[in-house]
Amino acid sequence: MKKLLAMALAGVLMLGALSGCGGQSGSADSPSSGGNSGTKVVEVDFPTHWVGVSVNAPWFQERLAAFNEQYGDQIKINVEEIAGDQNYVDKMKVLYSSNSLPDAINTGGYNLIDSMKDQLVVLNDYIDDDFQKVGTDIAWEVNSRDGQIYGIPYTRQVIGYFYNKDLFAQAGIDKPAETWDEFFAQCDKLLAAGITPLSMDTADSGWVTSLMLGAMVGQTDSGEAFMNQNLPTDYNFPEFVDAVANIQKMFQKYTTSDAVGGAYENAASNFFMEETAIIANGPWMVSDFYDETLVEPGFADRVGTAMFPGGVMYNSGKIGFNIASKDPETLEATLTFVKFLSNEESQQRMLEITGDIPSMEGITSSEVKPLINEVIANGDAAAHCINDFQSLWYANVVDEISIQYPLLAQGKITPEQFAKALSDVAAKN
Amino acid sequence: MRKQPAFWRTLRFLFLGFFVLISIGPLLWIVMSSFKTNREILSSAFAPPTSFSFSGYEAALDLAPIFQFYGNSVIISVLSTLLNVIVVSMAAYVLARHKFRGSNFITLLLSVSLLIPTAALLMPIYKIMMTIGLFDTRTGLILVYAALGLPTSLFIFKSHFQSIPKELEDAAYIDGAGFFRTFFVVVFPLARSGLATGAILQFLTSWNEFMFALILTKSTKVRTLPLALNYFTSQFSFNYTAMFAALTMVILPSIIIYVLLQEQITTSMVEGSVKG
Repeated sequence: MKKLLAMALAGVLMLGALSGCGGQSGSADSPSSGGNSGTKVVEVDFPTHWVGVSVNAPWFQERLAAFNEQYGDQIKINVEEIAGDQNYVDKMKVLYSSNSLPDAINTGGYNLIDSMKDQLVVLNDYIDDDFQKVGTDIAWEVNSRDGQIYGIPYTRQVIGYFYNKDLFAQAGIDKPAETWDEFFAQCDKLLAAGITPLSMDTADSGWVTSLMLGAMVGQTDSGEAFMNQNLPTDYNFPEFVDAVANIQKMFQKYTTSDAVGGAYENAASNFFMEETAIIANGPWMVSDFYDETLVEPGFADRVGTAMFPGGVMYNSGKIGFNIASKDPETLEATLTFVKFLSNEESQQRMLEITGDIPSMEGITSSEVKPLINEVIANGDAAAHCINDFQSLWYANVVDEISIQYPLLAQGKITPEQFAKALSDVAAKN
Repeated sequence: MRKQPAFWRTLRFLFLGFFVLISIGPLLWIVMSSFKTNREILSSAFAPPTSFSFSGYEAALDLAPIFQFYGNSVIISVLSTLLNVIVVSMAAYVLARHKFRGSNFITLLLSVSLLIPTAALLMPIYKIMMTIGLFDTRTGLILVYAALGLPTSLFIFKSHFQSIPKELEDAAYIDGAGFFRTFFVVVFPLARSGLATGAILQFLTSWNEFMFALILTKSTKVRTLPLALNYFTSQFSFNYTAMFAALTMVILPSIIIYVLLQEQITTSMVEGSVKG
């Protein structure tokens, strides 16, 4: 009888708890409500991955506070924290399938425009000449399809590679290579000096590795055109296959044992610990060079910047903010919010806080670290300017890279098979 | 009692020592790493910290709402487990004991959901939760988790009910017990070991589940622990010290509770097999 009573009590407790669990946290799904003064406050849903250790988190917190101060009595931003870039993209895919994308989206560079543009707002009518200045022509181009604007730029992609000056000196190397033959000769010199030349990775689309791949493809005019092409479907051409062959050589000869299966943090760790001499990445990495919980004191002074051999730099626009508001009132509020995050002041603060290069021309700051200015200068001097694969290639091709790289590294597939695998996946779209 | 030869004793200690090492080693490593700086973790993963600093714990609490997520995980996992055990055990009992037209079909129908990939369930469940107003609530997650564990629990419970001698139930009926009393007073306690197995699996499923927690919630007030660990790594940055500090805060309470209650847990699991 006692047990029956205990069970009944447990049941009651559970029912009580269940009913208590129903409290919805916000009023995000309820209609916009009036404020104290009777002014209507419009709510805007904005999921963001700028949380936790994300380099953009401090910038976003600062700009959100500034926005709330200015527009808080008219617009309420419902921020949804989605930690992890890939988790963010995964959630957007589910929301897209349910036709319930949030008002504002920022993937941090992943291209969702081509797969979701039927639910995104075409922004041409809302961008006047004055606001157009927040991005260069190429920045707007990357965010447009067939003349229709689907994204608002706020930053651009300027990427070369970083090298360790001390390790270069130990191997007897004076300056970064100007051709890929010279680059591989320098790798051999580093190896001879007992230094692992390259940081590489395969997980999460092999960001660091794929930057090297794209830079090798982009050293010719036709390769450069390919690297600026939106949604390429054919990877079976000599420049690409040759570049893949070089990547295979890099995996097998010039990188660390944790490159296969490793993600960005493995590649970065090896560079921070001065176990590798070269890493390809963008200027947002520079702040880590000064973080003494990650690197030895004075590490930043030992780092140099370089453009890729052949005068190649990633120097292009980047996917910005997409908007999917469904009614005119919310759309107007969302545009106000997104335009605030993309304006000159926000871009300048982003440059200062994160090191990300503004999409607007002419923004500078005395607070910027010297290495970042070097990267910008390299971008301006590049003979071939290319865009990165995450912005332009089909999402399933980007995913496929992580599957194919380990096979390539282990010699289980040839460069031709790698190119064919990407082409086959692209053809499924 | 005859004393074992020294060789076998040594071998036994080595064997046990090996299992202790692989069981406790990773946990100790996590706790130790939570006191190291990122640089120390990267440069010498197995070396002890040069100085004990709680900065990792401060950073972890600063970066992610861990305690809130922890509380949500406890509530959601416990309640989904209770719900699953109570509801599924009743269904399993009927299906195990009473043959009726369509009982095999119902068993098959309930079991076949085990074969549906989680990814295929995401969108329909999201739409259902939005429609019935349970999106972004703990109740929504509790119901979904209880349902996700249904086929596994059904298999376990049904086989345990079938192993209980039917004569015990007949005796209860002869003594005047009704259907519900027979189930709750006679059968339920006898199946305790099977119910405990199902409950543990259900609890672990709910405790570790990530994708539904991500898709079916949007506010930090209702989110669960698996989401918290993503706050410490992103595509271009990471904080291992904070991540290990967060892991320590997450696993230590569970270990302490298990150590304190292990006698009761073991007793309750053994008890069911001999009682009745």
